[in-house]
Amino acid sequence: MRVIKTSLAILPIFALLLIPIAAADNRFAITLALIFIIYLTVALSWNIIGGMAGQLNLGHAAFFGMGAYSMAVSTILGFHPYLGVLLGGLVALGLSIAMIPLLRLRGDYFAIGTLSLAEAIKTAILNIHAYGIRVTPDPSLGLFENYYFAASILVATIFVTYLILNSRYKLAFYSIRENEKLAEANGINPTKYKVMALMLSASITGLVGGIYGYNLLYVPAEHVFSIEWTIIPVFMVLIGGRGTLLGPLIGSLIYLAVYYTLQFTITETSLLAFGIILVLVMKFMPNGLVEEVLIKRLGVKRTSIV
Amino acid sequence: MLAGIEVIYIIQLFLGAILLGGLYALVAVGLALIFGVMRILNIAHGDFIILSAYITFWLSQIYKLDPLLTIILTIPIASLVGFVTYLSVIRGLTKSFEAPIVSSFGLLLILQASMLIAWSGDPRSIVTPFTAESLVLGPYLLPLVRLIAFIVSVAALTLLHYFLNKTYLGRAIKAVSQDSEAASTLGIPVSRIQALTFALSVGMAGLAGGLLSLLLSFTPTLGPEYLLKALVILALSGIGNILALLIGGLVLSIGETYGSFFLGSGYRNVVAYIILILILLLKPAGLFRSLKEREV
Amino acid sequence: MLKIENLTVEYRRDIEILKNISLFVPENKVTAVIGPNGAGKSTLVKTIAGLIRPKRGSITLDGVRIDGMSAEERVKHGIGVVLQRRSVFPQMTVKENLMLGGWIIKGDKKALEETLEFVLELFPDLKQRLALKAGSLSGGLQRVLEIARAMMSRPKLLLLDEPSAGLSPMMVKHVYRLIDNLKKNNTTIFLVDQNIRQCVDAADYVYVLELGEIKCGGRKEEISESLFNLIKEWLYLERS
Repeated sequence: MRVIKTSLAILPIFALLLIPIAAADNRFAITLALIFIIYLTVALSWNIIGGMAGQLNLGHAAFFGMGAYSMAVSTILGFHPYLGVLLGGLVALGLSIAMIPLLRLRGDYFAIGTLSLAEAIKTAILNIHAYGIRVTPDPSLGLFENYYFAASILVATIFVTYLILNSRYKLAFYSIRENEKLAEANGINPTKYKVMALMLSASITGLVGGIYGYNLLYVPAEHVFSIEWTIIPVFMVLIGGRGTLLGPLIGSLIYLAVYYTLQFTITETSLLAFGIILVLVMKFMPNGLVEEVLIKRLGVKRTSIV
Repeated sequence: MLAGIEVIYIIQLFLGAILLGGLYALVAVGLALIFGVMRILNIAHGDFIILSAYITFWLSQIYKLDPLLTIILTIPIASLVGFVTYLSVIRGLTKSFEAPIVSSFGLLLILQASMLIAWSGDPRSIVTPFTAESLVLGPYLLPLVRLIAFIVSVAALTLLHYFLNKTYLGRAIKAVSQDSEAASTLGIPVSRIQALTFALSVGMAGLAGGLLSLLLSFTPTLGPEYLLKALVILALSGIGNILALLIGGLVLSIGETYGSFFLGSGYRNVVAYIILILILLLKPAGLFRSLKEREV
Repeated sequence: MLKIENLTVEYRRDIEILKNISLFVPENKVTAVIGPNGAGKSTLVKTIAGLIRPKRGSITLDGVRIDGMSAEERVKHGIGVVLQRRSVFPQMTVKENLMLGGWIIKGDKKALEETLEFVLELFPDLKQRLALKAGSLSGGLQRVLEIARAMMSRPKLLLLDEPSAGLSPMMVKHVYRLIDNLKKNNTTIFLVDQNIRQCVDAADYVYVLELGEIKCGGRKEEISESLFNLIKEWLYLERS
């Protein structure tokens, strides 16, 4: 059983790595897969702060945007693009450190605070660069290379998630999520763990923001700071089941299904669909598909993967 | 001479801001009602306002009625929408973790997307014979639409205040917001009161949206901006006191007006964001003083 | 008046707070339930009031099964309850609190006025304080207000969850005197308290609840022996 589960988890990763080779000249397919990888990574990173630690960060897009933005600026300054991506991760990390005071807020207020902060940052940057900035590209780094860079970030993120869920951090995070005061009374320092979760999720998101921006060769503020980089990952995590590894994965597949049905465009119709699905899930399956369907109905046992 | 002109302009801005502040308070009161009674932050609040603006717009387009009349008609329509929303989405939500806030987020998406699909992203506004008219008060101009918005808002707030404090039902609403368990032990039907409050809140949003349609041009994505205004006012004024909300509305409006005057109109909303974040940080225990936390 | 049969109440799946309880509350008498901390006394009161749903068992009031009803419905059937915690509406005045207590008779202005007068006679402390904000009253007076408010619906059965909690000894005596008054006015009283002496003194019937089970119960006089032994156990932690 263990072997089956582990291979079930590894197979998709293999598939992901093989796509560019299988798709050969079909740039559209590869780009699509790349975007999917990026969404999934952002979802998994949001999962750490929002799913495991239970802090509803609705300003997550800010990390993504700052990552993309910093990457673009650094390429203009002459840095190697992939170094720029790493810088993007660092800048996002810095932003998360600046956001630490907000972690004092509980529940809804943290959500509003982060949402407002992200919107404020977006507005400020829009005032500086209304139309976005151009990336200075390196001709040797194209779609293929970007794809594998992103894929490696994804694999690393999956690995990190797996590690967390198999360590004492899992219990620490969960207990903070369920009842912070009680966790504190039991000797867990909530601030320490919340900061860790936020910093980790920010850096990962900053990284993928960077690679996304580079692939686009152009970083428009309205787009990279757009709330969709928060909504879609949150959607993926909550539909699938927060705080687990399988949850965001399943959520991302469902997202992909909706996306495919709506012909690969984010339009108003897809937003409508997401809204309806969110409402329905919250009403009938508030703990996500993994928990409600897999565990309760099908009796699959909880493990470190599920 | 130059200083004289500037002073007049500054006072003119002030007057305009005051008039707008009344409407802002109306925008906030709906959110305050829901939060007070159900402890739910309805993120879709701004979108209900915009939806109401569209309702007013289409009613006046199709039936060619006087805009003020259509605004009055919008209120019961909006209340009905609120009632239906409560029954289908809000009722029976697990208060556990953030199900309510995520659901209202889903509502936000549903509302915005529906409006975009139905009516496209083109800006709309209602133009009336008196849209460009102003009341002249010495050297100052009071735009009629803003004046109307102010008067209607203050009237509505006063009525609401009267309802909540002097009628049995209103007091029951207050009771549920202060202690819903105790209220249920007195026979007060908590769930029905919550439904009523939600409908009332969206009704208020309906009125606000209707007035808004007279004042500016709106698009389906304008909702969150008004949610933000409501949040800032709630953070400033708390939820218990309608007069405090009115003052908060004035403060925000004045802050925005002078903020955009000195910093440029692009930063108009940033002022609100910054106020909000500052308040959140300075009062980390939570936004609302009047609430007692019942946790653990 | 009130019959509880085989009542089992769970907390969060599989943890039984009340295990198969049965007891009987006779009309116009004071029935007390005593027991150590954590025995489930508050849970019992809340379950009768309708704030908690039982897993199994039945609660019957004057022949009508109420265990399926919501808390609000039970008020209409004659249940009144005073919670253990502070439950006045702090921002409203004493009078407003009382009027809200009369919610189920709000349609009848005359009945409402009469009931208010009647309640103020029973609880004269409140007469002079009608315009004060309930949150500004002392703990003891808030408790009095809570009881008065519960009486506004003219309940057949009044449930009291630790009425003496947090009150000064003089206030405790005062509250119990009020409770006695209520009994004289044809209200059936069901109370739980940790203050054993006052509680047992005031009671006609006593039940002992320990770890979710009824250890003994009946007329005070008849069970006084076993009652005394149990109390000794709690106080000295000796097992006989």
